[in-house]
Amino acid sequence: MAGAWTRRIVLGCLAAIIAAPPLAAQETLKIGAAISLSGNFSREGGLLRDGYELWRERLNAGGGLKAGGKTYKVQIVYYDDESKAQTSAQLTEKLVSDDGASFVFGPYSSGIATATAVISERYRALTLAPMATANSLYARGYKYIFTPSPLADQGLVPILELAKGLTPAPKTVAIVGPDDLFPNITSDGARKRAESLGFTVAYTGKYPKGANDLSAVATQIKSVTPDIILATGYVQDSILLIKSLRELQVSPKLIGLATAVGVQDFRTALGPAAEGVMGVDYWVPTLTWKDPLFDDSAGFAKAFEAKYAKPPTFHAASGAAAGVVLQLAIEKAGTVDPTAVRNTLLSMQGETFYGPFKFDANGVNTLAGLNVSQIIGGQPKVIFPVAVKQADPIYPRTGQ
Amino acid sequence: MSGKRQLILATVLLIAALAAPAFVGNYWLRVLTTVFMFGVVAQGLNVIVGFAGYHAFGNSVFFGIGAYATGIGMTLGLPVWVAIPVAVAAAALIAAVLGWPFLRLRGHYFAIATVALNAAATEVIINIGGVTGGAQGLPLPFSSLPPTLLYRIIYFAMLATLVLATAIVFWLSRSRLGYALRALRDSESGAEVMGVDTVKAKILAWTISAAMTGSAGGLWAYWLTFIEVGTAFDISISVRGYIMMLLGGMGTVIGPVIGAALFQLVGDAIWSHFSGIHNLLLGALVMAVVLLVPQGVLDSLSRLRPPARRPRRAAEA
Amino acid sequence: MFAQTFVNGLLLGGVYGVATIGFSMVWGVMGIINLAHGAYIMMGAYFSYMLASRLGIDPFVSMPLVMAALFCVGFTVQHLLLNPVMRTSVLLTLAMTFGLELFLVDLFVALFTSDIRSVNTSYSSQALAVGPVLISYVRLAAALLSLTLAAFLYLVLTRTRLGQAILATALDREAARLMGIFPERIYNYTAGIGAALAGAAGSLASTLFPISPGLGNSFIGAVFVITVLGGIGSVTGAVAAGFVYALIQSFAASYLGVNYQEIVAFGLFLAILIVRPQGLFGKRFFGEV
Repeated sequence: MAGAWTRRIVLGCLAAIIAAPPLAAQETLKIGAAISLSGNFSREGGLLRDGYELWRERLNAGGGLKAGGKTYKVQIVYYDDESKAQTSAQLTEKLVSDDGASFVFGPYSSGIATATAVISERYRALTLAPMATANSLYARGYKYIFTPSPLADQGLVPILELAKGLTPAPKTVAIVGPDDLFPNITSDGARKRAESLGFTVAYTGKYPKGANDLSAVATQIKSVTPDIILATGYVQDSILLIKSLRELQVSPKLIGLATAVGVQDFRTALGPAAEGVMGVDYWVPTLTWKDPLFDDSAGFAKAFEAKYAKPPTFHAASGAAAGVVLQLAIEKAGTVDPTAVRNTLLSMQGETFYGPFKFDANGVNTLAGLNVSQIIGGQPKVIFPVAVKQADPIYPRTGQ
Repeated sequence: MSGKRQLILATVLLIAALAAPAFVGNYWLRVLTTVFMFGVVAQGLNVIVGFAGYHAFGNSVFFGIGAYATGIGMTLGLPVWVAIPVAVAAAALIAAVLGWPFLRLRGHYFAIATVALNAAATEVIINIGGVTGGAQGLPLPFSSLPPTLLYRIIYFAMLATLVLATAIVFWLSRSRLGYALRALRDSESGAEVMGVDTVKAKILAWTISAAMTGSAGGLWAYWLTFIEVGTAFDISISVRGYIMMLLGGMGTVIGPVIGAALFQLVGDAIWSHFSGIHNLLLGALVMAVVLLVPQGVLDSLSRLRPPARRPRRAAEA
Repeated sequence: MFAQTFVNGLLLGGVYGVATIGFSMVWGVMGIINLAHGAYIMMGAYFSYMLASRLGIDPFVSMPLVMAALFCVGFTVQHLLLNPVMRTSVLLTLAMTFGLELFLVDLFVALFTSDIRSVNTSYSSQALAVGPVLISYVRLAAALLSLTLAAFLYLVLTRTRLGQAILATALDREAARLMGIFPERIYNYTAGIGAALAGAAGSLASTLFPISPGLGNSFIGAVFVITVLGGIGSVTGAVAAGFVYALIQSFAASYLGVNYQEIVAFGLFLAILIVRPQGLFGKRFFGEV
């Protein structure tokens, strides 16, 4: 018996030695990602990681990343930043200086990403931050941070553009959201665009981040009876706001949200109350842009559902798209030197399933666009831009 | 643990800390800098809690004030070595002014008043806007120094602050003020009978505490280069500092430093291996510490070996 | 708008009151600032959500069940974790409850993920119209239930043997021991009742607010303020202060701007703390703590 086992082990080792050389010939490209897996942003952080992971798995399954005649297996090292900027800085430092990552995938939220960016900038580690879109982050002259997504001030603009063409024409707008980095920028951007489109901005309000009750906000909004209510909040406060509006029977012709509509638990939490709510989506499954890895958005959605058994959200899509952007740039640069890849990124123009990209010197994607979905029959349907729409907008909103 | 043993331990730790940058990479440098930062916060609490017996849970307000004053000073063009001392002075001044109404409160009332002060300061910074950046946060000027050099400078600055804070606590442990504070901790009316000017002593203690906490906050702001109210006035900064102080032994000279090192290093070890549930483990750890070594680790360690004499209480060391 | 603002404040005040009573009582009787109180509220909300989504039991109906469950939690935690620490130093309990809070919140993230949930009842959006003022049925029911619970607790404290024992222990622990009361046992019951009330608050909150593991954090600030406003340990004070606090918040939000609601509340809190540390409504109910 013992003899048989010895033989098996020896054979196993031999097999391993024979198999090893081809494995060793492949090099590893390390990417660091300190994202929020606990704390305030744990859910968004988790969704973003799903996107990064799907990209990595699919890329490696297809042989890996090819650059300058070499093939790299991609490895992503994840850490949990606890939704804290201080921790993010510390972990990004670990990723870049200890773990040897020369590329970084950014966290969810611009506040935390600002701390991440300071570190990756100091070490010249190229950072893709698909879910950190505050304009201020890209106005600091950083050279190594890029985002494939549109910036925060655009966050509600497509809804206003859509509303401009609706009949009966809406006239007054109320804009409300938490007093926080990203929502404030979105709110200012929306106010300016609304005024330039000829709407009357009847109310703008900021409530404290993490406010536990919004009935005061709902009461104020009710007193100005706006045609359109735009909200810049996150999933939780958007749910609370819609509940509060309902309790006070505020029923505007249009409710538009900057985030949330594409997120599953927004819809399950609100149930029928979510019906007719419009929301901006960074990504929708009907987009027809193409890339070599996922083919198009339908391909991405299919791959995502196959891996995670749930439909993808824009967070995950933006994460996977950031991976594809990096992949295209590295392949084109023919090297994994972050500075060379950065220069390539600045000079190239390309396309992922998520949308086209061309970066300016601040790392902003000048070709990024946004979509609008509306919850119709319990599901989000794309209603804008017209080229990718699945349904016509239901207006005025009929739900409670 | 006796005063002599504490001194030997402190010397060994200091030599190790001075030598460390030659041996560790930037990540560990950052971890150690964080340990020193919390060491300073814990010492700040030690002065007001351990000595004076006033439980300033909301001491993070001075961390935030130090951070914001540094940030605003630097935005207005002050160099960092001017901005941080100004910030420390600002924190100390605010404590001195607020000390009179606040320190009239006793026990839990003082504790929650400081928590409310922290919350109010947060709201004030957000609503002032302008120079504080409001809810948008405040970016500090970006240093052009290469990271390896910059982080060593911050490391040694934080270490120097910790050494200074510990030296102040050491001085306090054998000064008239220190005796006055302990007297009023044990009985405020008793201390008054003994001729201690309790109001002055308390306010002085809180001012020292605020200056320490503010200097940690100022250095932290320069280090992170981007501050937000939520992180600068995070109540968990003082709650963590409080637990570190408990862990090491409050009222001792180097206990808070040991506590900061243990808590922070164990915390780091946890979060690199158990992402997602580290708060669960950290919480369990905190509960275990409170249940098993309630008098602080220093005290428990000295109980382990058979004492030649009757062990003195850590607070008397 | 004035009337609606007033009604908003009143309706919310009841929930704040219930969220506070347990915290205030635990603090007053045992000198424990229970930082895990918010986590108990969150647990109550999740239990209600589970019973509503799995078994279809309305949160208002399942409330006694949720309270019983939280009673067990509070009782056990006090017995195993807090009583041993209270013998050494009262202030260690703060560190203990801080650890417990971290543990419980993360445990619920692990169990339920941080997905946001909500209990939707058929009457969620129904409201009683009184002139131009709308009174949401859910909020009205929550406010009335809060008052009922507070009255019930008040009767328990003043009319039953257990209540008398709790008050006696709060006033003088050693004297109570001489009278044949075991303070530790009384502490267990007090903590149990405190947690049960947090559970009730969670139950009510589940009908009004989105539920996530961070739910308790949004309450704990208000709970602190209301405890002090009402006087530490006072049941009636907590209820009255709940209404006062909610009204102030509501009016500050409506007339100064929503972003001022917290600064006004905290400013007032500090002022009262410094001028009248015994709370707005009078005496130190349970003596100096």
